[in-house]
Order: sequence, then structure tokens, then C-alpha cells
Amino acid sequence: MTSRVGSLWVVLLAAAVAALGVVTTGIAAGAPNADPVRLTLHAASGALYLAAGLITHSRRPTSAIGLLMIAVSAGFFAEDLQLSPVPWIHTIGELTIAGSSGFLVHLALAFPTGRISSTVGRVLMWVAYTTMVVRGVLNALFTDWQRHAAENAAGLLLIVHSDTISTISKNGAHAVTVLVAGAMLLVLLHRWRHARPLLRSLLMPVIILMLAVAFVSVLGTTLNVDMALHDSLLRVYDVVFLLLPIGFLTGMVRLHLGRSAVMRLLQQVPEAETPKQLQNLLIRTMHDPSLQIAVRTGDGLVDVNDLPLDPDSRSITPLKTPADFDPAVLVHDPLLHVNQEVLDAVATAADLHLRNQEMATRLARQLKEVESSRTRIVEAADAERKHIEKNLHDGAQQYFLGAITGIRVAQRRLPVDPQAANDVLDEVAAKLTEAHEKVRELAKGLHPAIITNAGLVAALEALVAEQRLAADQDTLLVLNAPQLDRLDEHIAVTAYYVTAEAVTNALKHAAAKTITIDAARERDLLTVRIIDDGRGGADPARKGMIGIADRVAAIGGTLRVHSPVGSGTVIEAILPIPSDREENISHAQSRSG
Amino acid sequence: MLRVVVADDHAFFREMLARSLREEGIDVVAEAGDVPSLNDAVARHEPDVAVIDVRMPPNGTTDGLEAAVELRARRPHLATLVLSAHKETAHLAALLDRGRARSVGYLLKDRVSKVAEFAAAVRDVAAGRYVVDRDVVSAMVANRSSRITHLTPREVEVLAVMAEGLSNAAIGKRLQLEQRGVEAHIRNIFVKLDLPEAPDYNRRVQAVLRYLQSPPRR
Repeated sequence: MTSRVGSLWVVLLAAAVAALGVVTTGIAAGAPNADPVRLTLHAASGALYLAAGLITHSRRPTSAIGLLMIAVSAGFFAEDLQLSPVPWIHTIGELTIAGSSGFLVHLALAFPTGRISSTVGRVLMWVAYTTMVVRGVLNALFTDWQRHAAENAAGLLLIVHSDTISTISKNGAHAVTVLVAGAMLLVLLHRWRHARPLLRSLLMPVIILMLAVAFVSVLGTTLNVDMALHDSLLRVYDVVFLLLPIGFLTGMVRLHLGRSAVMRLLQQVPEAETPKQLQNLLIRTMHDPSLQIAVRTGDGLVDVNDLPLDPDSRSITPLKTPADFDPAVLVHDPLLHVNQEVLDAVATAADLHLRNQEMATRLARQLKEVESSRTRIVEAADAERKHIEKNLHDGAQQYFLGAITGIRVAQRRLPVDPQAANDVLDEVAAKLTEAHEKVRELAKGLHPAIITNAGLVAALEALVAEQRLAADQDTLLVLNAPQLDRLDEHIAVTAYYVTAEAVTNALKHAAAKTITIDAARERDLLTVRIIDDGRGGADPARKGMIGIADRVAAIGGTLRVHSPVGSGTVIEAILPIPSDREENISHAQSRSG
Repeated sequence: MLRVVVADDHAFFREMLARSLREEGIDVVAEAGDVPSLNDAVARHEPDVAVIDVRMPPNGTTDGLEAAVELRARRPHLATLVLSAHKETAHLAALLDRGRARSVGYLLKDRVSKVAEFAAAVRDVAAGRYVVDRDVVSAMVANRSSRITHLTPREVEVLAVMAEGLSNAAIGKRLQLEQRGVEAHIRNIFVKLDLPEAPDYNRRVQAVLRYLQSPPRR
């Protein structure tokens, strides 16, 4: 509300200034020896300051810059009021004879933030304002303009005409203005020298134009040039002066991005494929070449090229990254803070985009992992089949063929030499017993049938019993498994293989003395934990470990391996148990299929 | 008495194989469990026949087959009988390389249990004939497209029986054809497979080989 009321007030003020401009231009045009070119340039200058002020104010209502521009415009127009034949108007003109100088100095020093940060700057501003007022008052009190030209109106405030005071006032004010202008230029140059690229780019046109103004003024006042040259210098001065508001406006528009620039940014953001491209886009949009996208790491900030970044005295705006992302920040010119909401909008756009890209990268990584795990599962299955084929071919088949041949030999022997036939058959029987044992082993390796028949707990008990026999006498195997309800067979088999692999590792590689197996169900999660006191340092890249990790991942579970060197190993698999509904569906499917 | 070396890595099977051959009056002079000992045994005993399993150590792939091919090249007077667990026709092509098909045999391992027939096959290769398993030939015929070789179904049948190593008379008996009919079919086969003039026996093996080397059916 307040800003709207404020804006209304500013619009009314601008309208008043415009009216003043029309009036003073009319007055100046009515004056004798009026120069139409100079008149036009004057009017255009005032109008340009007014327009630039309005635009700046609409972009940035809270900044003083817009109002200062309007004030310059008003002061500028007011200077011509003294040309009026109407006494009271003429008197106002006498008071505002240096009407724009104070505002102009203030504007130049406060550009582009609206605030003057240095003491020297503030002193200069007050000197300029004071000079402006004193000059106006002295002018009204002690200068009779009718002495200059009879057609001038008489000043209402005139006490007595004093040539001395008039001259001192005029020349003094002139000298002060020159000094102030010179000092102001020095202040600006000093700022420029220490400015970052963004501020430099904003100050550059203003400084160049002011230097031109100063140059022309010095030429015009210090050198005794003839009248014609003086007139053309005056023309140049007017033109350069006319350009100044454009210089200010350009800077303000560059700094205070409009809505369209932000919209354009939002449209272009999706095209940036890398953080570096996004960074370039932000640099272009914000006109801040020092802007960088960085990530906060343990060692400080790291830029888009993964190099350490020194923010120096730049500002750091954190992006609203979620907790599990690397915290990203924008490092930028502090000047951008004058434009906080645009900065926030840009930071949000950058953040959304980076988040998107991070998600895409994560998805791609997960997809790759799924693909390679799928490949590993297929390869493991192939290797397993090959192993089985070799076992069947080299084992069972040879036994059977040998047995059949042996029986045939025995048949032939039987009538002639029953004893020899019996010997052959004995051998065949012994070998067939051997073959039977091998096939049984092979079948057990394919699938622990005990899980299907008696459940996971029984299978784990059998596993423990078997390993106890195989292990050293002094290795202790402990199984804590309450009676588990009938589990989905995939889950039970996975839990069994995780346990088998972990126990085998503990015995074979870790030389464990105690191995504890815990299996428990909590709601829809089955947790299997195998803890040993062996030498630790289990390698998760071992084939067996990758195999069980893939198995666990394939049914949506998680596998954790904690195995610090020298202090045992904990392997934990948490396996989700499908809800009853899903189970019913899968049962229904298996019945129908 | 016929002198034979038996090579197979499975001890029990090898022993039973040796016993069945001895039962049939064949002298098994040595048994080998891998390729180096097979080569040693052949060098030391200079047997009439080497019975060799395709799959043997050290690689457990086709070491036995390669050893057989090498022995055939090195020792023209040694007959070789290769045993395979699979109906792999490529092995047969390797054995028949360059069309030299004297004293060579290629049988499925299962045939060993038919003691008398197997002993007969050993004697056949020792006598210079060539013996190929019927099932391997069937697989070969099933795997080739007759369209490519332009053989009629009857000619493919004749070629298949020919590939087993049967004589014209035996072919005629198996397929219930007149002797002259068999000869006509065989001539057509030679022409269609574009086989050069050569002694009849060699051309027959060449025909089988050419057929094996034609592109497999898709």
C-alpha cells in the first residue's frame, strides 16, 4: 500500500515537474535573443532526467536514485524561471539559479545504490547543496537583474544591489562548483579503481560523460577563448550533459533487472546442460562477470571446474539445497544485494536447475548400477549353469556310462567267470554310490531344498550344524532365530545365501572364533545379521560379496558391511517382505500360470 | 591281436571302456588320463588304434580332439576313434580335414555301453574304414539347408547313410534301394556338390565334408 501511495506521489511530482518544464521552456522561448537549439537541448535534458527518474523509480521505488533524477530535472527547469517577466516567478528563478547542481552531485555520488558510502562523498554533497542554496539566496538579495537587461523583471527579495557581493557570490559559487566537481570525479575514479567488474561496467559511461563535461567546462572557463568557440563549447557541453541521464539510466537498468530479464532467464535455464553453462547464463543475466556457482565442501568452496574458490570479498548466497545434496552457493558481487528479490529469484531458478541435474545424474548412476548388477546376475547365473553342466558331464554322466558298460561286461563274464563278474558289479555299485553323493551335493548347491520344505530357520540350523562340523573345534557358532512365519521364498533364500556367504567368509578368510547369526522379523522387514570376531577388513568387491549384494538389491533390500581391519565383521541384510496383498496377487498369478 | 590306447580323463569310465574292449579280445596296451600321457603312450606302444575323448585336460575343452587331429597328421598308420559327449558336427569336419578319411571314427560316448558294436567300430577304423555316429549324421543333415546344395530329399538320405561310412550295398539295404539306384544318387550328389574326379572312396568323404561345410540352416 505504502509503495503504491508513494508511487502515486512520485507520479504527481513528475507531472508537476513536467508542467514546470513546459512553463520554463515557454518562458525561455519568449525571452529576447532566445537560441532555439540551446532551448531544445535544455528542454530535452530536463525531460530526459525526468523520464530516466521515472523509469528508475518504477524499477526500484526504494532507491533514492529515481527521485534524485527527478529533482535534477526540476532544478534544471527552475534555473530558467528567472527569465520570466513576472516578478514572483522571476524571484523563484533567482533563488534556484544553481538549482540542479546539488542534486546532480548527490546523484553522481550516490549512483548506483542510492547511498553515499564515503565521508568525503557526503561532505562533497553537503558542500554542493550549501553552495546551491547560498548562491540562490545571495543572488536574490543582492543582484538586481534589471541592471543586466531592462526587460528582466524586478526581484521581489532584492535588498540592495551589490556588485561586489554578486561577483563574489557568482565567482565563489563557480569556484566551489569546479572544486566539488573535480573532487567528485576523483572520488568516482577512486571507486572505479577499486570496483569489481559489475560496478565498473555501471560507472564507466557515467565517468566518461562526467570527464567530458569537466573537460569542456575547464576549456570554456579557464582558457580565454573567443566568443564563437565559446558558443560551440557550450553546445558540446549541452549535448554531453544531455547524455548523462542516459548513462545513469543504463546503469540502473543493468543493475535492477526487470521482470522480463528474469523471465528470459527462466526460459533459458533448461538449456544449460552443465553447471558451467548455467553459470555463464547467470553472468550474462546479472551482468556480473565475478559471479560463480560453487559447492561447499569440507575444504571450503569448490567452483564448477572442481578447483578451490576464494570468494574474496564477494557475497555468498546459499541455494536452498536439500540435506542430502552438496550445499551449492552463488558467489557474486555484493552490489547484487540491492536487488534482493531478483537475486532470490535467480538463486531459486539456479537451485531448481542444479537439483534437476543432480537428480538426473543420480538416476543415470542408479540406472547404470542396475544395468551392471543385472549383467552380473546374468553372468553369475551363466557361470553357475556352466559349473553345473561341467559337474554333470564330468561327474554323473561318466559314472553312468561307466556303470552301464561295467554291467554289460559283467553280463558277458557271468556264464564264464561269475567271480570276475561279481567283482565288476561291486566296483560299479561303489562308483554309483559315489555318483549319488555327488549329484546330491550338486542339487543342494542349486537350491537349498530345506527352505522350501522346512523354512528359513530350519535351513539356517542345518547350515550352522554343517559348518560346526566343518569348522575348527574351538569355533563357536551361535544362531538366534525365533520361529519366523512362513516367508516369501525369494526372501528366505536370499537371507540364507547372505548367511552362508558371511559364515564361509568368517571361517575361511577371517579366522573367526565366534560367529553369531541373528535373524528376526519386524513388521514387514526381515533382518539378518552375522557378526564375527575375526580379523575384519572384508573386501566388499569380492565376487561372493558382490553376488549377495546383487541378490539383496534385486529384491529391494539393503546390505551393510562393517568390517574395520582387526575388529571383526558385521554383515547386515534388511529385506522387505511384500505385503499380504502383493503376496496374494503373486499367489493368484502362480496359480493361474 | 589289435593293440589299442584308450584316453579319457574319467578313471572309472576309462577303466570300464578298457575292460569291455578286452572282453571283446582287443588288447588295451595303455590308458591315458590327459593329452601328454596319450602322446607318450602312442609314442611308446605304437598302437593300431587310439580311442580318444574330445574333452580332456589340461583345458577341458577340445584338447582330445586337437590331439587326435595332430596324431592323424603325424602318424598316417594310426587309426583314431574320437568319442564325444555331444552331437557336435564341427568336430567331425575337423577330423575329416583335407578329405583324408581313412582309419577314422567319430562316435557318441553312449555307444561304448554297446560292447560288441563298439568293439566292431574299433576294428572297422583299424581296418582303414571310417565310422560316424548315426545321430551325429542326423544332426548334420538337420542342421544344413538342402536348398543351398540343391540335393533332393532322397539324395540327402543317401548322403546321410554314406556319411556313416556304409558301403553302396549297405546303403541300398538300409534305404531299400536297388544297387543301380544307389549308384545314380551318389553320382548326382557328386555332380551337385561339384566334386572333382577322384577315387570313389575319397569322393564319398569329400561329399560328406562339402556337405558339412555348407552354411547351416537358419
